[in-house]
Amino acid sequence: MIQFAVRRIILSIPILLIVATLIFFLMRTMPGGPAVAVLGDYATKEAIEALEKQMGLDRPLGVQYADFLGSLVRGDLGKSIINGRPIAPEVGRVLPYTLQLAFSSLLLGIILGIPMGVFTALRRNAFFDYFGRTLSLAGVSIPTFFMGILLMLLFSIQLDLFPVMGAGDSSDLRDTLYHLFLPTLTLGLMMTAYITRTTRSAMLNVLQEEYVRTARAKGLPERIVIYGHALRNAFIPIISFIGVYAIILIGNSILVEIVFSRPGLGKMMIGAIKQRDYITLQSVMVVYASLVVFINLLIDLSYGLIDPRVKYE
Amino acid sequence: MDLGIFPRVVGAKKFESKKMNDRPLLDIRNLKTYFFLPEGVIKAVDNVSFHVGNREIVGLVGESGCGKSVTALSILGLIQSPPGQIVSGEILFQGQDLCKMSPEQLRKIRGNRIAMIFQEPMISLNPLYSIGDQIVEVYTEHYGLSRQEARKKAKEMLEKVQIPSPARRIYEYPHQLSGGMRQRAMIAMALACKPAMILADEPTTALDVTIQAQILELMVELQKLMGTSILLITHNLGAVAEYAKRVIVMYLGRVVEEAPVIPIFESPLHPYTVGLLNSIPKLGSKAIGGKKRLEEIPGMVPGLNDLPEGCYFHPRCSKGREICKRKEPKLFENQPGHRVACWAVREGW
Repeated sequence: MIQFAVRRIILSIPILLIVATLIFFLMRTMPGGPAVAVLGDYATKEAIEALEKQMGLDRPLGVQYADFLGSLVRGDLGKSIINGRPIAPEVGRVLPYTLQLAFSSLLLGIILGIPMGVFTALRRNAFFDYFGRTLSLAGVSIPTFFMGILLMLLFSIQLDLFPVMGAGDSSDLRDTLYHLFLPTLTLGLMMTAYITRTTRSAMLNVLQEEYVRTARAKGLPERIVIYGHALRNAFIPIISFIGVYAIILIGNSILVEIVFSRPGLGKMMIGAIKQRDYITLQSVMVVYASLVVFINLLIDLSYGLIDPRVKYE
Repeated sequence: MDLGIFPRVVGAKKFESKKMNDRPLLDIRNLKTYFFLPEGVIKAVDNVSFHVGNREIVGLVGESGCGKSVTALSILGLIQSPPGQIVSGEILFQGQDLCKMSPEQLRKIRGNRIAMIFQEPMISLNPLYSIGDQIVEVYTEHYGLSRQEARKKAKEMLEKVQIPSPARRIYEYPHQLSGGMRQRAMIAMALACKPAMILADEPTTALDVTIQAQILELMVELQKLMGTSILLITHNLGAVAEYAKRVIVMYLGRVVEEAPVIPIFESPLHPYTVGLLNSIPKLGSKAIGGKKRLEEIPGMVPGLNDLPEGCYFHPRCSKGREICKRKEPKLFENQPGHRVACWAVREGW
């Protein structure tokens, strides 16, 4: 298992390399180049050249590319164009906020989504099933930023229960959770909707399997048939889909961070876009890509925990 | 009254009344299992009656879709509902009607007093549970054993079904076993609680021909050892001829013929049974000379949602007359123990 993990990490290096390369060259295709992006359309030619020289953009593209990759390997994400501060420590500061949000939402989605999926599957075509399906369709369809605003109106403005913005004092757990609640609810409800749908269809498939009939023929109580034999098999497709949903979740966390003015990678990225800080933007995108690769690694490792047919060799 | 109150010693036999002695282990009376689909009502099992005696092996034969499996699933109360439902009839097991039992009572009989062996062990065993655990469950559920005790019993059971090195196999998963070994594990699971009745639904169909005989031999051996009755559901007439004492032939949800095994193979009465037997390839002078072609039953099996009036077999029957199209023939006893549902036999055409 550990060997497999190490190998998977090594295998993800080429993936990250390709992603970093794509990001690097995409940045270079910005109209007029990064210097124009920073200085604006009316900058003089001299000013642009001076800035390009300062940023090292006058060097050949190959050199710049090698320099970019070299820094990445050393864990150096470069310096911000705007304030000249190194980016890596800033990423280190905001990353925990994004991870907190992502993991708590995913957890909420799993805790609510899996039981709801099982119940709707068991009450197929009954009232609860239609109710659950309508609700999860709504959850999948409502954009997160809109959902965030709705929840904010209800819980913060009408009921005055939770704060509208910020992440609170990170050294105070209660304050952190207090500020985390609404953003987590926003993303978590979306995850719940996705996971409910997936669980429902996975369960409906598994319940048709012969081994479920065998379990019943053995005289096992329905509780063991459903939650032992059926659900355990349903977990295989559910986990694959959770891997996909986690990526959707990360994309949406950017919107939620903006809506709730939470510090985080998303807020940092949007800030970089606004300020045309392409170095920061490029670095944050690489971090996001690494996050996605890491989640996929976790998903692949978790298969082996439930399916004996998966071999890590 | 229950048979179990009588001591099972040879000397006591004469005190048992004849009637009690004759009471079959399983007695199905006028069973109707229908499926209510949007397209219409499918009468998968339509007024079926038969019985299985103590320690008896009864063959239930017929083409795919004739209601053999649905009959077995009805006995266990495993008909998926909706759309399926046991509409009427009685399934008396040791004198008690399984149809009248609560789901909980029936569950306690399943896997304990009546067990089932399924067709394809690959898909009938849970891929995520070791075969040991799948047998252990039966013991912890029905005998209330601890996992440790159950594991010991499971190991004994694997030994009984002749799985080599059971101490190691108990930890293996279905995908690590061969088809034959998987079916042996399935049999071990079914026989775990020494059931009085085994429903074997095509137990060898999915196996290699060389393995089929081994599995059947094993089943019969254990059947004798444990005193179990077997309802052998199959379209393998060879297996039926070899092991069954009586044969029940079903066609489209109805029993068309029932007889002890020798009369059914030597002098089948129903045209459908005759057709079934003629469609077995035979070795012999006729076949070798190439003079006789392998026979088939003409026509197609009608869909269960598009059944003809009268006798279901009449469109394919060479002896069919006007009455066959109008009126369903009832089973009647032609000779002692040999019942058949056919106008031609009844009227002596």
